[in-house]
Amino acid sequence: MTDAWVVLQASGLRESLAGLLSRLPEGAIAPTVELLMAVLKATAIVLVIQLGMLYSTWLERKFIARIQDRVGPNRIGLFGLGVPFADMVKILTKEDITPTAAHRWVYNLGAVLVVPPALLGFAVIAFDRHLIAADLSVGILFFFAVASTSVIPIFMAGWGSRNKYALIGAMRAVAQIVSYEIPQVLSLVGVLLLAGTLGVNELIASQGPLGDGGFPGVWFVFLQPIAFIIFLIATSAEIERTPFDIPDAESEIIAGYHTEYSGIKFGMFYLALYFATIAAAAIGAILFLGGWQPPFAFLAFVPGWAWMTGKTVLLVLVFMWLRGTLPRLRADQLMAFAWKILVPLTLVNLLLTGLIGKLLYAAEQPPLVVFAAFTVSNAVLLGLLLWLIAWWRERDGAPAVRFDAPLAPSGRTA
Amino acid sequence: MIEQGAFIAIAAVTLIAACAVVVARTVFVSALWLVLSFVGIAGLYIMAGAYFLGVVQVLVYVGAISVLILFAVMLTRNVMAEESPFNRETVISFMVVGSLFGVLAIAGYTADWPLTHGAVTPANGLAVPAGTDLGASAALAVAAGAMPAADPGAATMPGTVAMLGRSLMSEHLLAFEVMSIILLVALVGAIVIARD
Repeated sequence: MTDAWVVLQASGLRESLAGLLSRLPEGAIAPTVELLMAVLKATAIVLVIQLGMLYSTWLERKFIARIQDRVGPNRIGLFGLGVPFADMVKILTKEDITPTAAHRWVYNLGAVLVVPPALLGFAVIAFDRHLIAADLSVGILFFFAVASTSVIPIFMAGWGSRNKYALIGAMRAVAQIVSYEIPQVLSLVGVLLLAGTLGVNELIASQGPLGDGGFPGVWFVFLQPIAFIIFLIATSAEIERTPFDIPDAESEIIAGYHTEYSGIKFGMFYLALYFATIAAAAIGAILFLGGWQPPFAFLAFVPGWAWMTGKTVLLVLVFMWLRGTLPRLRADQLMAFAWKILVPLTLVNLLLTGLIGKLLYAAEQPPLVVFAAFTVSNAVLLGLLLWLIAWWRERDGAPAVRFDAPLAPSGRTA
Repeated sequence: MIEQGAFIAIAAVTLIAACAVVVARTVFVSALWLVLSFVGIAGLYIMAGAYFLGVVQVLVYVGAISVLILFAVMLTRNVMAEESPFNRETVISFMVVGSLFGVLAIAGYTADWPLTHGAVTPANGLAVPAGTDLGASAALAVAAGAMPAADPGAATMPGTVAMLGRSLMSEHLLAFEVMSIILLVALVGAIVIARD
């Protein structure tokens, strides 16, 4: 299943569709075929991602169980591989409840509309050079634009439920998503600046041995490591995963904006969470890890979709690892972290990347000089990060509590 | 045929949603209809070939401005209320809004819209042959700055983003910089007010 095979199959499919539609008037055949191809692509994406979602719930449970020294699900099928399907049957057969006080339309639509923002992004994700539903010239922007609409169904769910915990959860979610969108998008402007494009395939092509020979020829993670870390942090806030799952912090506000939902409507929120996780991992792999590109030319015999899938799974595992390791942040810490640390850092990164890109890369300096400049700039960023954290802790942080000293009644050390 | 049908459908959704904004009894629901109207406008931009503008419309209006509106509604009113107070001065409202609409409609009808020549295409190969009359929707996109009129010699364009950037940084540089300053001043002003 190589890239050429994909192209061959696609053209074969187009021909046979045109054959089936040969009774239509001459001018109508080509547009109808394109329309049917679009429907087929959409169906394929939904089916594959659905399966990916089912097994990422399994992977998450297994992986976190291992982190916490447990076994995890192991009852249905080999290694518990049947558990996701059992879960699906369970969630579909549960009672569907609409609270009497809820605003019926807004409440139900919220559960329906929460999935499309997470799913639409897959339209521009290239699993291989030709395994992409729509290679738009503004693909990256499209991804983040549709992802940014995810706050509206969350708001609808929170408001439509007529429940104070749901409303608080929705407010928290929206404040968090809107705040972290800024460092998330700013962190990848450096990458876009260097690649000089918003198109997904062009961006990937500039990052490896199978590319167009353009700059840089390596994965952007090597040039923008700090931006990559900021991207990962901001993205896990954006998709509301621990340590940023404040909107549905179960110990504080039950389950946040989806408190009132049951059965498959709750399932929709769950679905959206995992779709968003996979989508975020895939776009991270495209932006920073070279998408379908192998790291070296001699590894090109491994097909592109295998590289892309491997990198995506790797990033999904990073998100799960964070969830298994870190405690939840407090709501005010969360906001301060975005605005006082991540945003300044991304702005400085943008400035430095722009300078290096203009002065060294555009002036066609040798690659070694460019890489050296990026090493220096990232060292500067790292220093700035540590300084910002120290400054923040000094200014806003809680007083340090030493656990070896006896606690005074006020809770502070004596 | 398909395009015309799609245009009519999207335009109808936009207009019906816009009407529903005014008619809805709850402010929160009005805000949701406004979101749908914004989405419809993004669809019109995309139909006109202004992909960048369509995507930015979603990013800015649907993703940010409508969230701001929803937030404002939730923070300033009794959020759980089923009914919201209505403005009774319907005649004055109608006159103000009607005259504004009239001015915009006349300006839109009489203005000279330079059409782009050549293909306005994304990279996905849906080529629009040169000389195709893109009609009013293209004019709309040109008006909004998505597709600055290209020089007639250019047969194809790589995309609208690079063109838009070049035109912002050359012929519209002054307006661009002035706008940046205004936005910066507004931002600083908001922070200063918020600190008090």
